[in-house]
Amino acid sequence: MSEPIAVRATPELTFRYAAGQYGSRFLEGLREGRILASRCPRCPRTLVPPRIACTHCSGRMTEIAEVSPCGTLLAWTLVAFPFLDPFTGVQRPIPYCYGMVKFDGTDNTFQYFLSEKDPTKLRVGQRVKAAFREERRGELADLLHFAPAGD
Amino acid sequence: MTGVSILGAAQTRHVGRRDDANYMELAFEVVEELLARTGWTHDRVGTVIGASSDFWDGRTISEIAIQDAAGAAGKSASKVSMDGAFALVYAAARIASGAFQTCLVVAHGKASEGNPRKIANAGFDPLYQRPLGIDDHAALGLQARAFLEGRKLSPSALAESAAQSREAAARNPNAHRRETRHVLEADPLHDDEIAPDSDGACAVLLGASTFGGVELAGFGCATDEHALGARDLGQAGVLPKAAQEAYRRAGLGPREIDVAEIHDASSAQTLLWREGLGVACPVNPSGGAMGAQPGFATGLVRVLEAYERIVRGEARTAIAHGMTGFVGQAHCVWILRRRS
Amino acid sequence: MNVAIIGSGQTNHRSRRLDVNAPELIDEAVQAALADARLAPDGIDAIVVGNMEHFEGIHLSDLWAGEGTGAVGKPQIKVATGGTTGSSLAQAAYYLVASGFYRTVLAVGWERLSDSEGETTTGIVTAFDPIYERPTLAGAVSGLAILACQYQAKHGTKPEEAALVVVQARENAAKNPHAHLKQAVAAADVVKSPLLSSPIRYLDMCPTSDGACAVVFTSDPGDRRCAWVRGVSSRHNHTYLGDVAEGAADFIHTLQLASADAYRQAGIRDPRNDIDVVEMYEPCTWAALDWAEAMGLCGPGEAAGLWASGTARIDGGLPINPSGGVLCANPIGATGLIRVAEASMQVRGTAGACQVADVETAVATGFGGSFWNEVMIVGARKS
Repeated sequence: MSEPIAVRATPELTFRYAAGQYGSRFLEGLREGRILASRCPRCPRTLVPPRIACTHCSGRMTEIAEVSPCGTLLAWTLVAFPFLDPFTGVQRPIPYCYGMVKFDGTDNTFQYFLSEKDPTKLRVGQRVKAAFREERRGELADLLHFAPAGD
Repeated sequence: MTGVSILGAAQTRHVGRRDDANYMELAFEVVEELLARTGWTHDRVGTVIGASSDFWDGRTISEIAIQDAAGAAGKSASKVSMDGAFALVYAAARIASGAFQTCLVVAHGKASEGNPRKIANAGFDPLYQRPLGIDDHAALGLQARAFLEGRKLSPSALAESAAQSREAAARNPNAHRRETRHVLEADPLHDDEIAPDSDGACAVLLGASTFGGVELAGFGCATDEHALGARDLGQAGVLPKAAQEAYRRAGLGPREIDVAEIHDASSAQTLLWREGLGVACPVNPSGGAMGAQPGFATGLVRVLEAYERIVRGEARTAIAHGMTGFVGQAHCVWILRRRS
Repeated sequence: MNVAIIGSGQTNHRSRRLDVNAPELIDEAVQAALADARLAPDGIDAIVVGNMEHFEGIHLSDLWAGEGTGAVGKPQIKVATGGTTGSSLAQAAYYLVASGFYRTVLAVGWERLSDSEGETTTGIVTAFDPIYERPTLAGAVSGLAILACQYQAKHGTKPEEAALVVVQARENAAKNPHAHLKQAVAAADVVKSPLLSSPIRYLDMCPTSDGACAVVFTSDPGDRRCAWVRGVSSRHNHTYLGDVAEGAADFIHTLQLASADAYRQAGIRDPRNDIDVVEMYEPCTWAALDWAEAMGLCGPGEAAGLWASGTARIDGGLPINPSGGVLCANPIGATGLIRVAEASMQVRGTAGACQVADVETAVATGFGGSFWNEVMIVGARKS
């Protein structure tokens, strides 16, 4: 058989994702330098980021409340392989480190960048604090990273 | 007879843009309302089947976002990547198998977050059809032309059908209110002869028939060829086959159907699918998909509208019809029946 | 109603199958399944098909590829749930037959990951929240790395120990004509391979493959050799990765719950001894350790011992992934179905050089989504 033929076809699709009622509040909070959570009065549960459905009862979370930017690191990973970022269409800069942090007073973990890029320096239970950028625009990037906070 | 019944249903008001809510929140709204209407709670719902489109949502495995909203975390759950009418088949099978007593089906479509025409173009064969720039509206135009010529009808038949759909939709508080200008969009179809792109969601609670409710008497599904040139677009394709399977399972015939809710993506389809179903009854009192077309929720909304007419005593039997693919490549026909 | 698997077929999974288009790829698996089931195409009453359309770049890919599955004129329902697609297909086929709606259902899964030209991670990143999760997530790799980090922190398991999972997988895959990666590796190779997302290294992680798989489910097997479905379960999870991580108050170990449910249905009380072979959906070595424990195959922190001791070998006390598993072939839309196919082959005695002796009960798992898990148990006896 002659050489197999492959045809390149790139659907160029862009999306406008609605942040929704709860996400919009969270992003406004970030612009103000605050971490906001949603609360379910029944269970009770306090969850970051805020969202409409409680993870315990699937009922409506009815309040938004500010929580401390301090928390506990529960897991982390150093990302070291190249891949295309679906947002930018170019390779995401590597290596970078992110972790799962439980903000004080909340009932779940939040995933974000860590300032520490050496995984051997991290440990489960370590205290960390969210740092904000100076100039904020109401987007997740208003958060710079979690930095070690001392014990 | 499936042994499965509809215990309740809820839908959002369908609109052009819900910028105030992401699709997780749309699904939550409709599930919250369904539970409120039926008095059921999440812990009494055995399993969950979703219907959603990854391309429309701009997310792979887009179903992930609705898990907590639908009470699916910690439960056996799955989804169908097709119109909600097809999801209903899987949902009913889960109950009929005896493994579950109840199943929540939730479908959503948020047309406003992506570009439905470009998404549709991505659904055509990449070698032979996509390069033509074809999309769902263009395909509807081809079908409408084939339909008019095959039946020797004038385009005014489309305008009349569209007017009837509009009048019915005007009486439906959940229909998508939109502005149209009666301009040609996909010759011979004008903008008001093509179903809108809507944001909306729908949820239905199914249960074993021992719980009561409106009976799911029968269903039928069938799939046609993909390539537009492989079928006669002016005919009803595999719809009669799907309908026949539904009539056989339900043990009744087309003349016994009191009302039909049809998924009509164009005014030509309102006429063509009615013919394919073989019914003589009123069609689309809700306005049909011509009144609101929230993606994969559209067929489930047809089920809801059929269900409500039976519950209100306006009908004893009803058809609810859903589609996936372009110009009716896959059809799913449900027959609902009031229990005696 | 009792449901049996009477046949299965797979392609030979490869990095790139440029010699066939998707319908042709699917057709290879479907023809093999029909031949194995001794069934003509018109013996199929309905089809369930799965594929992740974003990876293919084809919206409604199932409708486009219908000529491959034999869908034209038939009922065909698409079930695409990410990594669990294949296991979800098996479940859907089972319920459609068990319900009495259809007598014989063909489950077909496929993926041509080579079509997305190496952007599988990019696609998987889009599965998660565009605002909160995509900026940090590096696909399935980093999601699993978080799990591996926690497992390692809890049990102190060394990378060389986790590596034994893929060492064994490759040894098994060398005997499996369908497997994609067959080359032997040593633990030393694994721990020196490039870091993907700590602690997961390149050789710890599954490949991306082009391939297809088809399985025939029926309530009317006649005199055919069957693998009877004895247990079917699935457990879904929360939406955000921060909610499914250990440490979140509503953390659910979905595989533990799904296994317990399926075991109960199948009458399995002592998994380690009642199960004859496991085809586990293990996308990386570390996950295999956590999940062997979740399935009750050993105690907490003891999973590495299953591989180190040779228990997991094809001729060992509890063979795990005699086919080579996901670590040796991963055509995403088919992968979970391949687990079911391989489990059914073990029961029916058609696993060739990978055959485990005296199999009565085989367990297949599927993983994906926001840490969903699915379990199907097949056995030589109807009940």
